[in-house]
Amino acid sequence: MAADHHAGHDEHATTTGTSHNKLMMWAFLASDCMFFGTLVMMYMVYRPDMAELGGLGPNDLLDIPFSSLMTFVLLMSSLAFVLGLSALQRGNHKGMRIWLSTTAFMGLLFLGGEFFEYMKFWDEGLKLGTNIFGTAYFVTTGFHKIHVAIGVIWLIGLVAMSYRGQLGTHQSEKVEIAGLYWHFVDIVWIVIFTFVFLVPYR
Amino acid sequence: MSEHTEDAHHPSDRTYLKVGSLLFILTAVEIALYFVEDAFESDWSLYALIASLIFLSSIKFVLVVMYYMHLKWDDRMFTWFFLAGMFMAAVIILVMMAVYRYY
Repeated sequence: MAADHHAGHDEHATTTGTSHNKLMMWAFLASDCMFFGTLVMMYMVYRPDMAELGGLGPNDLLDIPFSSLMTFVLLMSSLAFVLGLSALQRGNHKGMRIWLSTTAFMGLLFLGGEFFEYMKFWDEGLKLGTNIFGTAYFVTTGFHKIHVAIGVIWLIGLVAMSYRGQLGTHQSEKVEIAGLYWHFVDIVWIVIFTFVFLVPYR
Repeated sequence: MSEHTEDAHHPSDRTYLKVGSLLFILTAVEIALYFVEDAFESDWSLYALIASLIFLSSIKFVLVVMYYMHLKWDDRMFTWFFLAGMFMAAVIILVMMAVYRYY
């Protein structure tokens, strides 16, 4: 591609001297920190009451080995993403498409796994309004899954753009901004995995 | 995978892989600690587990933000934006937890 001459990290001709697109994404992520902050707060507030729930509480339902596997999948998807970005910055479009498709596949695997877990909880009798664990768990992890789903759609869009020749090396910032979003979803899961799954309920 | 050297803005593939390996290992340690604590089920082991999990997950959080989200190399303004959001999220969590648990 003729325009593929540079990875595109020169000084930006903006009033701040930096990329306003990236700045906008960071501003969004800062606001999303507060959004997930309120969800985590809600979970932590009601967490002490969840230990007493018999039968349909976290001690009976949470499957740590399975959730750990899903966590590894999401963490490794972040690695796949940065390798895709790196490939694009070197002008390796095929490599970028492979790594970004791998990332999207891992995102779908995570969503599928979590959907399977939701169905399992549902079959056991845990629904959104069953008890405080049901409400807090489905709301907190549900909003995270919505974020992952948006990320997967974004990734598929980037791969499609690349196939159509609309994503040159000089446009790597577009991929980098999508990466900021994807990695943010990853760090939110790092927090959720710790406080929802690993800290014992007692 | 072809070699890609580190430049002023982005780490090399080797660095990405090292960070990925660290994330994998730290998560494995977290899960192992969970099952070790499960065998003890005492107050002290619970507090030790919580402290360890917070410490390990913080390291993972910082690794992703610094290396995968490039804050180590990018404009400081991005760091301040993110820190402002984190700070306000922390304030929301602490204040609302205090309000709900004590009033």
